[in-house]
Amino acid sequence: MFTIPIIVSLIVTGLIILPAFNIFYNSFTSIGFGKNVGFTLVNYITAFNDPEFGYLFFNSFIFALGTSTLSVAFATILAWIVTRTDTPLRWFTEFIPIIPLLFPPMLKNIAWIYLLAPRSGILNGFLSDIFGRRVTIFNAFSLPGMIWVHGIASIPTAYLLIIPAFLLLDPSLEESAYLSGAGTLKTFLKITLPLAFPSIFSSFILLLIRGLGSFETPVLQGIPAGFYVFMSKVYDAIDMEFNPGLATAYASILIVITMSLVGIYTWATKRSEKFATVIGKGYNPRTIKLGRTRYITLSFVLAYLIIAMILPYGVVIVTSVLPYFDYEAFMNVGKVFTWDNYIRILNHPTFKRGIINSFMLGIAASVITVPICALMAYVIHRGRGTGKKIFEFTGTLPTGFPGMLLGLGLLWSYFGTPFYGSMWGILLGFVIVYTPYGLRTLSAALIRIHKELEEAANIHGASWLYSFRRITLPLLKVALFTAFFYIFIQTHRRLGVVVLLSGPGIEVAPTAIFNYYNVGQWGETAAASLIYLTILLTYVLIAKYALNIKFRL
Amino acid sequence: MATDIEKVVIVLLSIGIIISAGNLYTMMELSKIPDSLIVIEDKLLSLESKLAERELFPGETELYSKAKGEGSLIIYTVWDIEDTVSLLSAFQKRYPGISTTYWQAKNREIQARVLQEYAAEQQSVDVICSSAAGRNLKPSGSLMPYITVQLDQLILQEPDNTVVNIAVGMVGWNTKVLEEFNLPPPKNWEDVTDPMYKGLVCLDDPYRGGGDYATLKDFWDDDTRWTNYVRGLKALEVPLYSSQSQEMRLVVAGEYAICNNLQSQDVISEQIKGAPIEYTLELDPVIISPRFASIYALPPHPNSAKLFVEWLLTVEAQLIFAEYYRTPNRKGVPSIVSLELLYPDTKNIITQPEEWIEDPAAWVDKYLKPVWEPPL
Repeated sequence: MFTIPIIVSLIVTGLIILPAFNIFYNSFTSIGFGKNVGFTLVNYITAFNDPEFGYLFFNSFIFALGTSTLSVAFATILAWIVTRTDTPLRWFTEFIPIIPLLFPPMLKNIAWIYLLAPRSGILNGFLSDIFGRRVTIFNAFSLPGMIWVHGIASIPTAYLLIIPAFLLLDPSLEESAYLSGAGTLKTFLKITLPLAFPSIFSSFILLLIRGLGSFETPVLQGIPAGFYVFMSKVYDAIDMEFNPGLATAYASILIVITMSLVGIYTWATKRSEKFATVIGKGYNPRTIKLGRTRYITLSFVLAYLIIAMILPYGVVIVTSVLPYFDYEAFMNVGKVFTWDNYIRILNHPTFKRGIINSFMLGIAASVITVPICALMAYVIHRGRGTGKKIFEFTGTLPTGFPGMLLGLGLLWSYFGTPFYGSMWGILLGFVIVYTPYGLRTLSAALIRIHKELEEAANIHGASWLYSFRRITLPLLKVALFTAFFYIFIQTHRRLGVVVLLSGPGIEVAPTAIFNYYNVGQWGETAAASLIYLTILLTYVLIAKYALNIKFRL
Repeated sequence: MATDIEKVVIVLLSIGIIISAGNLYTMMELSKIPDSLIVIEDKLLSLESKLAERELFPGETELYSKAKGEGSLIIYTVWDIEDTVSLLSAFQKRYPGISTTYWQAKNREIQARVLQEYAAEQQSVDVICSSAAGRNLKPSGSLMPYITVQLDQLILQEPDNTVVNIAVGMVGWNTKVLEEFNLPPPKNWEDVTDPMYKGLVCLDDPYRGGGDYATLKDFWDDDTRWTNYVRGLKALEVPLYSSQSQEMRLVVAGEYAICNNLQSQDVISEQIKGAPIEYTLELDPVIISPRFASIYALPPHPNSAKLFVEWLLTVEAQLIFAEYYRTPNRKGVPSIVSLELLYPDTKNIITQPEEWIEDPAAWVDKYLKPVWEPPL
């Protein structure tokens, strides 16, 4: 009965497996300077004999654990406040958590380094001005600094993955707890949190995997702190050893380890259907009346607004109009104000082409990826047999790959095909990269919908397609649009995997940003990011208010 | 008697009359310019256009005619976008029959991509404009050995590869921070190890950017001196960085007072923006690094590639490099970033030793790690 979803899932699995296979294959056949040999274990022998191996992996794990814990904790509280409570200004609070998603990822590091640098940082400088002596409280170049920056920046992703579960919670369970005398906190901890646990845990695992593969924050903030991570081995293998084979061997080890995390996730979510709460009895989501506590929850959202947006992006806005950054220039922005950075961006040769290309690619990638993910999620959570475990595994596989290595894997796959050096190649790259995010969002929403709704339809003679179309999809509507816009936006802000797939004439929107970031022109990077932010915000507002599409962005 | 105000008015009117008379005289004189001078002016213009038509390097006309048949040029570049676009625009203006496209990325990405494209025998790119990749890719065979016809005009030469401009290493400092701590600026490499700068120096991760260490070791040829230098830097107890652009930003921001790993292009462009940054003129030796335009081993447009590489070495292109504060590699190109102007009194201008170029990782393992000790 699941023929079409299974076929689609198989095709996607094949597309994902191909670059992954190439990465593994190269780790056994490629040596220094990209030379290919028959078969060799030399890369793995080198990797496992590396005395730094265990130490670096431990560091990576600590960093990833810290960031995913911080972001998931924040995101869970935010999601609960926005969806389950009567916290004031809902139109405002539901929009706030995801706004940082519109900024390019490297901007967080620029902003927080300028904020938290020990000597030149704005916060330490500000405190020094107040106390009349040099004060050094904050330090961007430390493990807590790294965890803070990466963790805060990951909150929107965690929030988007967690929020469908909160939206679809059966409020009668919470109301029963209240009637039995439980307070807000107790109800949250004993009822709401356990019900949303599968989604929270899955987003934790996803962020843990992403943290293990993270490189930008460890390089910019970790190396100065003497904190090296496993990913530095992957990039050193290319930078210093000129050995893609060794790089892919390190990456393969990382992938195997991260895939074991996916195994843990799969095991945990097996029990997820026990928590399914949207059942055939009627579904009427209501919010909890918090009384005066609602001002505390509002304060929490506003605190998030300050630390995740006003502080870092305020710095970015000022940096974009400075000729160069230092504390004195920052505090005297009115005197040294310049539009030069913006003028340079608007004169960038691929600026307009990048916007048009990204718009088309973003729409195409979302239109293709979201239905695929909906079908895959359906097979995984409604199907039977071991096949669904394979789809779950492959659907999460791209998350475990370091961006550039997955790009290399795709490049190898494209040689000799029309995908090589074309927009189609980038599009396929986007579909592969964002499948895990689409799948997680839709899985988290789907496991909240009890099977009995579809079973009732099937008993009355409805085909799977009919029940999928008339029952499942309407209930998934918000999650579908959330996934759609998430993917659309990500295609505009992340270059990572497609950096090697783009090329002359097929630049995407973030190209202009990276062109400046690559050579250390942080003022121009800030200006370009703000221009793109304006464009993305316009897209989102048009969709939300002009087209009246309901989604969680 | 005239009042003071009337005196001022009279003086102003007089000045006005004198200026007007002067202008009138000039106009009358200009109208008398003989036709012969106009003819000379025309001849000068004609000479200028003939100069433009003249070959910029031997064999240019023939190479252009072959390249025109190919019609295109594809480059991969690590250069700043403005530099790249200016160079490609000027190239297309001189050679209108060739269209150009580029892909900009970091050395790492360019290396990874070219290695794989070459392994897959893809005819993907013509010229790779880079810093490290121009050397790192060479042993893989992915670069075509090429010797320019303008070799005798170049300051820095590399066998089989073309150095189009030069990165000049600098020891620089933030003037505000040194002033705040009331410290004198360093004059030379070893001054940076002075304990008075403890905690104030921005250092490159020596394991990932050991080029300067290798060059100084080779130049000094004195193990004790070099060991003291390395240990002196380590004793400063400062964080290490692996991104040169980040180091530049942090020194400009005032996070550090001094950096011994700056590039002339960055320092001068920041100075022009008004940043509080300065550099020593007494550096000896001065360490220079090549910036390459290398021809890919399987170029889809081989003649366009050669034409571009040769054109980059002409005065016309070298002046564009200079416009973006990149030191020209052609002798005698007038520029504020020429080596003669940057370091007028420096006797020794050197580049990285062969042993480091051939295998940086092995060099670090052999010489640097035992002195520095692993950071773990």
